Amino acid sequence: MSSTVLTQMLVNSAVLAVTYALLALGLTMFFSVMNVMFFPAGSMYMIAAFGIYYLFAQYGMDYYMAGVITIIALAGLALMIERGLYRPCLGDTLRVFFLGVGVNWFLESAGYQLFGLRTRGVPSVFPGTFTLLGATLAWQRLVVICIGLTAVVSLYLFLTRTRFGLGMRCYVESPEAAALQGIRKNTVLRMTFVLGVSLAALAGVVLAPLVQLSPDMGSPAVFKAFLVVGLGGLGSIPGSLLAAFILATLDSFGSSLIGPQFTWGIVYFLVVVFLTIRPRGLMGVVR
Amino acid sequence: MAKPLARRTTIRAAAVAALICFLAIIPLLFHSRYHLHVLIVVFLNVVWASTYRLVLRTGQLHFGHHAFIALGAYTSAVLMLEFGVPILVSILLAGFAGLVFAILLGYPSLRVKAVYFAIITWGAAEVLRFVFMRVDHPFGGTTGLSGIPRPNDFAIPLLGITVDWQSKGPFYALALTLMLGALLALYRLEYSRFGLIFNAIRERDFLAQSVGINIMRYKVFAFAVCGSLASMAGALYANYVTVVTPFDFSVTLLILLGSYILVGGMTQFAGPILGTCLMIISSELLSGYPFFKMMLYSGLIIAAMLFLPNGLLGLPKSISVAVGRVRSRASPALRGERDA
Repeated sequence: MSSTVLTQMLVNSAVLAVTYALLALGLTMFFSVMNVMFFPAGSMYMIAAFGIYYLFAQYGMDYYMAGVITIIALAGLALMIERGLYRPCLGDTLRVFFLGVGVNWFLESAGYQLFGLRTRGVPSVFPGTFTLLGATLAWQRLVVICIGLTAVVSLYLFLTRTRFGLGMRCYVESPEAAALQGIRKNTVLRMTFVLGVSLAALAGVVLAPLVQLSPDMGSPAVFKAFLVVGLGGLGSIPGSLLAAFILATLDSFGSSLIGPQFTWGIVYFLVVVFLTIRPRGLMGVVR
Repeated sequence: MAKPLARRTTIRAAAVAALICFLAIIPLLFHSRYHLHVLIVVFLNVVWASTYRLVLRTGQLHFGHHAFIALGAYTSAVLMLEFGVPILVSILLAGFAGLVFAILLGYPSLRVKAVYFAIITWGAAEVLRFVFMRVDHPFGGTTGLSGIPRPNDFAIPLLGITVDWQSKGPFYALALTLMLGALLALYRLEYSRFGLIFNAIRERDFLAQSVGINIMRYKVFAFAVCGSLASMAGALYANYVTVVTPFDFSVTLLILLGSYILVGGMTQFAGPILGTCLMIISSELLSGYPFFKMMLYSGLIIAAMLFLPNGLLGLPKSISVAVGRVRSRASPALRGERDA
């Protein structure tokens, strides 16, 4: 294999890894706090991408401005969903699980109603290419990787260096002990929803110029992110990052070497076998 | 106020018997092919939803029930197309395939709980779907299998009736029989020692284990019974519509089944039956508005989760609890009693 192709595939897998990581980190936070999967992250990702399509590509707003507005609007929606739908149901795993399924489905069908069946595209925000080790790469991809890494690093700093982040981790460790220390459960929940949904929305914002937009783009993405979260170990942020990188590499190299139609079947099979042998995933903790 | 238990049971049994008799003679009374079609679909979905409910009732967050349906449908379709097996034999063999798959999947995966089990079962269902989608022979790849042959017509000697497989009648009879048989089996299972053990496993599995219950065996048993019945219904579905594609059995089907159970009521045996009837009939009424239908469906799931934690069948009890709360708030004597 020539180094050109190898470089191209490495950059592709880095972009994919960032996608999976952004979605999976949000889901990991939800899982640590609620012990349940948060399906609506998929439709939030889709809505964010469409927000960029309308604000940036249709109305010509500044890209960063459009991104910030989209993320803030979705965080607001997340707060409403948390207060109105999730808080009354918390504690009952099955109810919360299917509530998430219902909310995701509702937003997706609302997306069909509003955006239609036609797939859309967003023009590249950072046009042009550069050459690295003989491979021609788009600036857009490099920007996606940089924004993704920045988001991951800032999340890490937030969780380890700020009072709020420490409070959240304390809550995950033991809700009762956290309550005794004066950490409010509702604040933790609100912060989880805002942060988790913002990460999904950020994924939608940065990836909008790279993918085809359609209302059904969210569910496959969120299911792949679940696979990432499961493989990494539920509730483990470093595990999710590692798993995102592994799956992205398998996806990117598998698609070019054995064809995209077989890759995911094999990846699913490997992950299921791995999880059956080691249910807590790569770096999960047993609680 | 309440009738004696024996009498109430007799009335209920009589009502169920009357309903079954009515369902049995429907094809003789109505000749509308469309209505029979809707009823057949309802019957098969009742089997899927009820079996799914039993697995959920054992406390396992099962998220791969559509795999069993797909397996049954494909097994039967391949047997009919490749080997020309008779329809009933193919349905039974599909049930056997579901049983084997459930045991093979259940033994390793039922060791884990909650979301871990959900991820494994869902992943296994996806793997199975990929196999059906990517293996062209004998599963037909993305286009699936079509032209599953109908059995030849035959005459029943004494009654002078000819069984015409092109009409809906025989499939209606088969679907009704399968549904009644499955419901009977599930009902007997639920109201027996097994049902109590399933409840114990759901509530506190380690306590169940500590009184000497082999929880693994019971979990796999419930999983296998449900998988096998769902596969048989899937096989009948394949024979009825004569076309199976991998897209028929995506995760959407699973979500639909979940919504049937939750709208009807998870805690009651009749919950999935009621939910399936209501949701499928409302879906048929709204079939002209596909996106609106999806929004209504998902809205119903959300509303059911929020306001009906025990589904429609739990509604009377929720209302009486709410009324009781209002009453006790209204009467100071009762409030004093409660506070004391």
